[in-house]
Amino acid sequence: MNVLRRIVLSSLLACAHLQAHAQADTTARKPEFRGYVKNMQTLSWVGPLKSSLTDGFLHNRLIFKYEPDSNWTMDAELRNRLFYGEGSRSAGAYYTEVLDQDNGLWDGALVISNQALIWSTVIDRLWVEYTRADWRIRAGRQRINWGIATTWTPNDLFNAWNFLDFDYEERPGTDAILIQKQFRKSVTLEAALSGSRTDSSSVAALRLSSNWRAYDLQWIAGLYKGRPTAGMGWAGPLGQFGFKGEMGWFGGSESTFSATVQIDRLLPHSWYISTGVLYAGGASGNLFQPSSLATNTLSPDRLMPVKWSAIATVARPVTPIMNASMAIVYSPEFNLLIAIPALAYNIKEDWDIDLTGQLFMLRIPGNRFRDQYMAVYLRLRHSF
Amino acid sequence: MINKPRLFCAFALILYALQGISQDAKEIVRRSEDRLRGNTSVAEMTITTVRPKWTRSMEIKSWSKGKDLAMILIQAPAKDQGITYLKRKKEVWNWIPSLERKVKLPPSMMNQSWMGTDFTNDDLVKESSAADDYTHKLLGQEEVGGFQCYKIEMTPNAGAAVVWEKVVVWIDRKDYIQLKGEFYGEGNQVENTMVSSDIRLLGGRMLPARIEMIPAGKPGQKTVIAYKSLIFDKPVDESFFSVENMTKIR
Repeated sequence: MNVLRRIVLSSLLACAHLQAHAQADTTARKPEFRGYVKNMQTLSWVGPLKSSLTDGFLHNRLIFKYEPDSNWTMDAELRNRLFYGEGSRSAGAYYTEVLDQDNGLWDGALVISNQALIWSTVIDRLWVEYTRADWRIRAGRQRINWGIATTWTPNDLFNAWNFLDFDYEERPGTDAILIQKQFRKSVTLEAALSGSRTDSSSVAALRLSSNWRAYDLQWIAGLYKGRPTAGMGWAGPLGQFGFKGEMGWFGGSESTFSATVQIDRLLPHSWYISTGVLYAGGASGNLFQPSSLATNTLSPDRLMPVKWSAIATVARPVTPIMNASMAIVYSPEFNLLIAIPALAYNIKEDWDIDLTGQLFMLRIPGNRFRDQYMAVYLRLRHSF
Repeated sequence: MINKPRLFCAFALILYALQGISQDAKEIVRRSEDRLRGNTSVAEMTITTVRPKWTRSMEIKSWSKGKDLAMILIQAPAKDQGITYLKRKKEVWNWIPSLERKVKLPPSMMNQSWMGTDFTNDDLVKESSAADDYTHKLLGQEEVGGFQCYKIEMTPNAGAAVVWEKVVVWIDRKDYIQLKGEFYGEGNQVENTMVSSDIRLLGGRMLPARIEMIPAGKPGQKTVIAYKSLIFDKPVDESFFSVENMTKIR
C-alpha cells in the first residue's frame, strides 16, 4: 500500500513538473456543477405476493468538475442516499454495515442511522487529470471502464459492470493511477494500477487498443488481485449487425476463463434487438439468493453465479419520449430465468420516470416455472 | 442494455444539417449544395421536436470535416449533457459520460428510419449527392417567403440509395439558398415538407438559420433546427475526430 501511495504521489509531482514547463493556458472553464435527484420505490416479494416488502430511498448525485486550463481537470462526485422504507427499518444493521464499506485506499463512506432512517454519503470520484498532446494521466478515485461489450464485460477488470444494478450505472470508483498514451492511427496504450487497503485486491494492467478494418480491438495483460490475467475484446460490424465480444484468462492456483459474445441490430421502426452469451469460468456454481445478484460486486471471471448464461433484449421507443424494453436472461444449469421489463417516460425536459421489473425464477424439477423473487422499481428522476 | 435511439436521431439530423440535401437543375442544385459544404464546419444549434401534446428541445454542438468526419456533443438537456457521437467514415461511436465508456454502434444504426424527429434517417446520413444522384428538371419560377426561386423536380437515378419517389425543391435565384423542399413517397404523395427561413449571414454565407420539417397529414407535428452559430473552414485537425477526444470536447 505504501508503495502505491508513493507512486500516486510521484505521479502527481510529475504532473506538476510537466505543467511548470507547459505554456500558460488561459482557457479556464467555468466550474461545472451538475447532478440528479432520484426517488426509487421498490416492491419486492419472495413467493406469494402477500409476503411483500416495500422499500424506498432518495438518491442524489453531485458532480463538481473544474478545468483551470486546457491541461488540468479536477472532478469530485458524491452519492447521497436517504433510506426510509420497510427494508431499512427491518434490516437497518445490515444496511448500515453494507453502506459503510469502502474498500479503497481511503474511507469515503459515511453512514448515519436512527431507527427509521439511514443516511449514506459516498465519495465515489475524486481525481485530478493532466492531459498534454498525446498523454493523459489521471490519479485518484476514478472509474476505469475497459468494457467493450454491453451486458457482460470480462475485460472490465477494475470495477466490473453489473447489468442488474441499474440504479448505479456510474459504479463505485477505484483508487488508481491511469496513464494513457495515444499513438498514430487510433492506437492507444494504457497502464493502470489500482490499490485498496487490503493489498491482495490491487489490480495492475496494460491495455492496448486499436482499430482495424472497422473493428475496435483491445488486448489486456496484467495482475488481477494477485492472479496473472490476459484478455482481449472486439467491437465491429458483421453485415448489418454489431458484433462485440470479450474474453479473459485468469491464472493462479485455479485458473479460469471467461468470455462473452453478442450481436445487436436496429431494425425498421426503431426496434432494437440484441442477444449474447456469457461463459463465466469462475462461477461459484452454488445456489444463491437471486435477490443479492443485483447488488453484488462482481469480479470479471464471475459475472454470473453460473457458468453459462444467455440474454436476449428487445427495445423500442413507443413514442419519442417513451421507451419500452424487455430483456430475458436464461442460465440452463439452475434453469434460472430473469425477466427485466422496463418502461421509461420523459415527463418534461429534465424529469424522467421509469418502471422496471426484475423477476427471478428457478425451475424445480417436475414443475412449471415457479416464482422465486420479484421486484418492481418505480423511479422518478430530476436532472440538473 | 444501452439504447439511445433518440439521441442517435439527433446525431443523424446534424449530419443532415451539415451536408444538406439540396437539389436542382443540376448546376443550380450543385451551387445550392456547395453553399452548405465547407472543408470544415463548427455549428451550435437547437433541435426542437414538436408534437400536439409536447415539445422537446436539445442543444447540440457539432464539428465536421469533409464527408467522413463528424463529432456531435449534446449540451442540453441536463440528463444527456456530455453525450458525444463520433462518425469516422462508416463507423460510429457513442460516449456515455455516466458510464464513462464508449459504445460502438451497430452499422444498422446508420441506415434506419428513426423516431423522434420528422426527418427520415435515410436522407440524413446518406453520403449521396443531390446533384449527382438525381435527374433534374426545371419546372419554372415561384416566390417563396419573399424570395424569387427556381422550382426544380428531382427524380432519383436508377440504383441511387434514395427512399423518395421524387423531390421538388425551391432554390433562391440570387444566393442559391434552398428555401423549400417537398419529398414524395409511394403513390406520389407528399410525405414531408421542408421550409427554411430566417435567412442571415451564418459563417460568412447567407443561409437559413431555421429549418423546419413538417410531415404531411400529422397536424401539430414538426421538427425545427435553429442555428445559434455556424463557422465554415476553420482549421480542425483530423486528430480532433478521435475516440480519445470524445471525452474531452466541450
